[in-house]
Amino acid sequence: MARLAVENVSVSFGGIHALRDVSFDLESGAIVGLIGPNGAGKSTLLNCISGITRPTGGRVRLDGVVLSTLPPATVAGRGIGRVFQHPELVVELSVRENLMIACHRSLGYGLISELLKLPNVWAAERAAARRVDEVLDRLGLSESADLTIRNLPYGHRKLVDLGRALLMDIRFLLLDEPIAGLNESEVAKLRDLLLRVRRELGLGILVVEHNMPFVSGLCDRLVVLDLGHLIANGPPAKVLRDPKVMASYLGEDA
Amino acid sequence: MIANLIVGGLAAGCLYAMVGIAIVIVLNITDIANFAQGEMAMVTTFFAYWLLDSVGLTWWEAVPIAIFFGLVQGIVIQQVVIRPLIGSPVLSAIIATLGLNIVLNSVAGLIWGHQTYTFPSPFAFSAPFMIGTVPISVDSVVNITAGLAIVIAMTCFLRFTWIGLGLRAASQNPTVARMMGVSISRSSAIAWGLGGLVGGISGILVAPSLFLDTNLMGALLIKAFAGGVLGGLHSLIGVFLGCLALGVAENLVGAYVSPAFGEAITFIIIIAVLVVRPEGVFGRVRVRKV
Repeated sequence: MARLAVENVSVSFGGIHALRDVSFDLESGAIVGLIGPNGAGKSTLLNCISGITRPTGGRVRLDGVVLSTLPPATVAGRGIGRVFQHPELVVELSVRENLMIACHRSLGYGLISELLKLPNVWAAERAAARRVDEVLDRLGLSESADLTIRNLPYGHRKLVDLGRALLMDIRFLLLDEPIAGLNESEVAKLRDLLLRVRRELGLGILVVEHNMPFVSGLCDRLVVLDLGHLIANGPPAKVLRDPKVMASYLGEDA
Repeated sequence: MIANLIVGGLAAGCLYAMVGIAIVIVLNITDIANFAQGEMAMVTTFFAYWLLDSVGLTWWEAVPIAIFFGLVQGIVIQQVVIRPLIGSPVLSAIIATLGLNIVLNSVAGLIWGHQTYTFPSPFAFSAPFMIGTVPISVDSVVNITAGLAIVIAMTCFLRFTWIGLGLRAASQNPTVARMMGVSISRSSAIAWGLGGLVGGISGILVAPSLFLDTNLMGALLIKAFAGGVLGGLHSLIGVFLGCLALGVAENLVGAYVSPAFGEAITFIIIIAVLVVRPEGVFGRVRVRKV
C-alpha cells in the first residue's frame, strides 16, 4: 500500500501565494477529486506533485521519500503518471506506435544489442508488445490500433494519452480535467475505465475536474482548494454540503 | 545507346542517393543539414584505403571494417561537435557542419596529401552482364543493388524496429517524444551514426571510378542535395527517386545536348524545383510551428 503525502505545501510566485500550507494524503486504491474555483491553485498543486513546480515551503513524499526536490522525469520514473488536459501525442504515428513509445523507457537495453537483436532484446520487445496489446484492450481501442492519431476523435486521443501513462508502470495517476471535450458516452467509458484500473492495478488517482456530477460520482474523497487554502477534505456528500465550500465554490453557480 | 545511358545514370544516381539518404536521416531526426556528410564519407574511404594498402587486408575484410568505422565516426562527431549545440539555434549546428567539412578535408590532406590514389574494386575487371543487347557493367549492378538495399534496409529499420519508432517520434515531435521517455540526444547520435555508415558506403563504391583524393565527395554532396531537393528532403524514397532522376537526366543531357551541360543540369534542377515546387516533386508540405 503506497502513500503519496502532500505536507504543508506552499507556493508563492513573487508576492502571490498560489498555495498556502496545503496537506492531504492519497493512498493507493483511492480516487480523490481536487476541486475549487479558477485560480484556487489546483494546477499548481498537480505541478508540485509531478515535479514541474518546486514548493517554496513543505514537501511531497511518496512512502516517506521526498519527491519535491526531484526533476519531473525522475518523479515520473518513481511511478507518478500525469495526464495533461490536452493529449500530448505524436499525431503522425498510429495509436499502437504512440503506446509503444511509452515502453521505450522500460526496455532498457543498449543500441548495439538492439541492432544485433540479441535474445534479451527479442524477449523484452515481445513483452512490451504484449503490454501494449493489453492496454489497447483495456482502453477498448484494439480496433483503432493502427489508425494515426491525426485521424482519431479527440475523446479517443485522451484515452491513448491515459494508456500511455498506464504503460509507464505508475502507482499514482494525476489527471487534469480528463472529461473536458468528451461526449456523454465517452465520459461514461472513461469513468468505468478509471474505476477498473483502480480495482485491477490498485492505482491511487488524483483528478482535477470542474464537472461536479462526474467528480462526486467517481471520487471517494474530495479536496477543496480556495485561493490556495485547503478548505475541505472528506467524502463528496459531506464536502458538498459544507457551508464554506458552498460559499466559495458552488456559490459561483448558484 | 539510350538504354546504356539510362543504366549508367541509375548507377550514378544510386551513389548520389546513398549520400542523400545519409543527409535525409540526419536532417529529419535532428533538423540539421549536414554539409560535412561528404567529407565524413571521404575520411571513411581513406580509412578503407589505409586498411587495404598499409594494413594489407583484402577488400572483403577492409570494407566491412571501414563501414563500421563510418558508423562510429558519425556517433563520435555527434557527441563531440553536435551534442554540445543541442538546444542552441539549428543554424549554429549547420555552420558547425560547414566548419567540419573544411576541417575534415584539411586533416585528410595532412594525413594523405593531395595526390590521387587508385582505389581497388573487386568488380573492376569482370565482364559486363548482358540484358538483351545492353551490356551492363558489374559496377553499375553493384551500385544499383547497394542503393536499393540501403533504401529498403533504412526504410524497414525506421518502420519496423523499436529504435526506428523512437527515431520517427523524435523526428515528428521531439517535445512529446522526450516526455514519453525517448532520449533526443541518443536519437541524434543514432542518426549521425547511420548517416556516417551509409555515406561511407557511397565513398567506397564511388572511389574506384573517380580515383581517391580529398575532394572525392564534393560533387557527390551537391548532387545528393540536388536529388533531395528534387525528390523531397523529408522522405527516404523521395530522395532516392530524386537522385535516380538526377543521375539519368545528367547522362541524357550530357549525351544529347552537350557534355558540359550535364553538370549544369544539377544546379538548374535545384533552382527550378525550389522556385516551382519547394517541397520537392514527391514531397509533402510540412507545417512548422514557430
